[in-house]
Amino acid sequence: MISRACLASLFIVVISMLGVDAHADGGAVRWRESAGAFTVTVFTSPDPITAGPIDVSVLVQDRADGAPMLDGLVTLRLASLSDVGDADRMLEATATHDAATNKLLYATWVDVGAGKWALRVVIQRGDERSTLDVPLSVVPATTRLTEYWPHLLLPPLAILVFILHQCLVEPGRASA
Amino acid sequence: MSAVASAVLESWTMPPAIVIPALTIALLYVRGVRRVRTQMPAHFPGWRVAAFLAGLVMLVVALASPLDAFGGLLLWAHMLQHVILMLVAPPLLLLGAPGVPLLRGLPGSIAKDAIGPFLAARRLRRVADWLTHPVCGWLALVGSTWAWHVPAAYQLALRSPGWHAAEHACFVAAALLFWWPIVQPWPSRARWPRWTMLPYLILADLQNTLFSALFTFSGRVIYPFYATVPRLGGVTPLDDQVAAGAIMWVPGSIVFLVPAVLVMAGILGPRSRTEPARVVARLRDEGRTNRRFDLLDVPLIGWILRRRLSRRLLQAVLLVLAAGMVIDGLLGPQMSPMNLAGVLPWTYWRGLTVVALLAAGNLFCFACPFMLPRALARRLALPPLRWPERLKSKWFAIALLVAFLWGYETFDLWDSPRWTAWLIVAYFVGALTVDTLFKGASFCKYVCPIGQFHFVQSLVSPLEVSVRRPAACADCQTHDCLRGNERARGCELDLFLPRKVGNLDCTFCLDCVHACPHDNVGILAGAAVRDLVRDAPRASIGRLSRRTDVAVLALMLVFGAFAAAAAMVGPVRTWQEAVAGRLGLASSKPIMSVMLLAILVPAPIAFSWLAEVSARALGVQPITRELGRRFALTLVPIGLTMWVAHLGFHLFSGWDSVFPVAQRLLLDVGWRRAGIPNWTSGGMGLSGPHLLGVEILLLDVGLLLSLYTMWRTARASVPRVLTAFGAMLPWASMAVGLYCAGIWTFLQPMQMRGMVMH
Repeated sequence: MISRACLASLFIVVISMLGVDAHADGGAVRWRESAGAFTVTVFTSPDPITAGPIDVSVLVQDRADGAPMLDGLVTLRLASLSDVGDADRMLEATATHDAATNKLLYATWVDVGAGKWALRVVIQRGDERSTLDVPLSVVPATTRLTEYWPHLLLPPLAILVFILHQCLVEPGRASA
Repeated sequence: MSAVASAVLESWTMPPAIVIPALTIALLYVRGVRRVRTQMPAHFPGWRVAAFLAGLVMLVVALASPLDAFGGLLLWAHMLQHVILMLVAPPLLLLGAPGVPLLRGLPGSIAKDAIGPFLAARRLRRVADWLTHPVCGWLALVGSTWAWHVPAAYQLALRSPGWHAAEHACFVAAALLFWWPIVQPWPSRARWPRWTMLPYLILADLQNTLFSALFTFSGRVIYPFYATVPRLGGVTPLDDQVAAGAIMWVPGSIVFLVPAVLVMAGILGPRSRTEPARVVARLRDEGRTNRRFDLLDVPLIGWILRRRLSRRLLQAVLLVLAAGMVIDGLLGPQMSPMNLAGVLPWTYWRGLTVVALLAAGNLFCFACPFMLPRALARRLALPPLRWPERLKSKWFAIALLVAFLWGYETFDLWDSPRWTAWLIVAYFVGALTVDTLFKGASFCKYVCPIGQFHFVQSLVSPLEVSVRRPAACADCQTHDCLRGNERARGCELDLFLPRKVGNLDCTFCLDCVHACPHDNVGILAGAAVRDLVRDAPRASIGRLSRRTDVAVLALMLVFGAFAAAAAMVGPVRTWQEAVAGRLGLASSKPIMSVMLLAILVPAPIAFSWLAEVSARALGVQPITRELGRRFALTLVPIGLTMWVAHLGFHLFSGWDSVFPVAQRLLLDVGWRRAGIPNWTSGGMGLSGPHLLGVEILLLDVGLLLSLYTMWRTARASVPRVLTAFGAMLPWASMAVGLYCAGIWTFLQPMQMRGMVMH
């Protein structure tokens, strides 16, 4: 029966579109600076940063030889600088290797609103502690629909394919 | 191994979007090859299978390994990824001659009904011929290579995951076209003489050499992106670029030249002949005799399901959990996320049962704990009465279901462990009372609101309890599946298997499986959606087109799915509070109550009437009430997917919420080693945006299945295409309206309201 065909095809299409990657993937280099004993690179995604959940990833390297530092504790503190909306909002999150795709990075997701934010990255390894301040400018998300357009495109596309299928199956009956 | 090397090797992304399709394709291919081999043992030697599977593995390596994770930091890693995607994986895939095995791996109906028309369409075949022409293949590979490596395009892909995926898809597609005339996968035929493949490959190698030389000898960084990223291992951006060029140059040239040598050897060697047309025809004929999947034939699972003890054990487990919920609900803390009665039923049970309905079937009724005390009671005394004829419908259950859905929102059942506990107790008492007094499974069939929910939703489930060989039933005189025998009782819901259609009223108790002396009952695939289209007389149910109660039940559950989700979102709550404020009410509860009752009962009925009237106004004939009832059932798929999206959201976002509750329980009973509960739920690692994507896709599937069943229903009832379209139009509009409402609901901030702690 074609119903099974439809179900199976839909299943494969949906699975292919899932893209459920719970990990952060780095993104664009937002800031790079030497702080204390470390050279720190901050990546953010999406680019440009839009209101909503964003991925912040941090690469910490030894300032002397550039070797990645993997045994530290990386904390992100975000403070809203906006006068409206998220005014005075503070966020804190711990970035971890588990949350990162590239295990050299420390990553986490944070939910930010539109406007100016101050991101403070605090890196601690033993007694060594360094901080880094990164300004973030978050643009308003036009609408969340735009983020999910491939998902929303599936029904019209499937309907088009089905119409084509029906025209092929019963070409003479379409105008009956 | 150093910590850095270990971290690098652990950087596998394994995205489901890559891994699951790769596994699915591998399974289909292996299944297809096994079938093809039964007719042509020599045609698919082991090396073909190995090549195809190796091609899939190489795709996964390119897209899910550390190569992908480091592609944004190291150009050579990115270039190696491209070499695998263009020059390694595609020829391996084509060497597996995947066309016929993949078709044969699919269920016969899919290959024939869904894909067949496309394969047979002349225009599409002409397009395919054009695409697989050597000129097209060569230009596709060379064009995509140069176009995507223009700095602007390459950097766009580096910055945007979407464009990066498009770039990779373009590479793989172009490479498949390029390698097609060289590999010439069976049963395709060569368009050009074989010797032409030598200049084809050599010209491709020449352009590759030129391309690689640009990278190697450029002397400046071609992609500024790589100059801005942190450098790893002391490699400068220019060194990185030279390494990338060398990777393209040396291994790339080998990949072009080795096939050239093999082509030459083939030209000089002896010829082999194949008979593609005859073989394909034979395969087509053989494909018509495919057997349906039977869950009872699956090793281990089938064995477990066939044991009657399995059901009892599952029921006993759920009974113990229910007892735990009642005790904790009555005596434990009255904060829902801290109580078993707050977490188990509302986060886990609801989510798992709807996911099971969509993925398999009515598994909850199979393990229903309410039936266990009843079974024990019936060992003591048999019920004396028959269920009253007047009440042999779904109306009583519909009333209970409306009351439950209304009460759930109005009295915040999710946030009241005590009321939840009493509800469970009431359910046990109700089931025991009804089934102690009345014969058969009267409670399941006519009273149980949970059962009705599962019966209706399981119309969309992919598995059904069904007869394996109808011919065997034609000779059966005893009808043990209905009447029972010394081994097992027959169907208590009066479903006579030879005339059973779909899952409506089936509790998956498997009594019929145990009772059938011919071992002729299985759990077969293929029920999904089809049963919504068919209007055959159903055992103990009759035609669905004559069952107003079933149509109303279905509509109520569909509208209920959207109402229950909408009731959770911020703007709806704000609106209710605003209306309550305007009316001078202290609470918004009355507004919520009225809204829910209006959506559950009058709205679906009013819409059905409107659909009938508008179809008549459009001159669509014949529009009958029977057809309206059938259309009502076609909305079930979108309703089920909305339930799955909504309840699955709670399930996945609060997946680990039972652990601190269990710790708290253990601490309460004095087991100090249980540790301090961490009341913050971490979910399943799926962040909000990812869950939202899954929710939208689920609703997409629901909408498409609903529209498809509407079309099939209309075409089965109305001969003319335009008339059929007119008949389904009001219902299709409703489905699209519900879809839009669902998408709007998903995009609103969700109020978790005591389900989990964040």
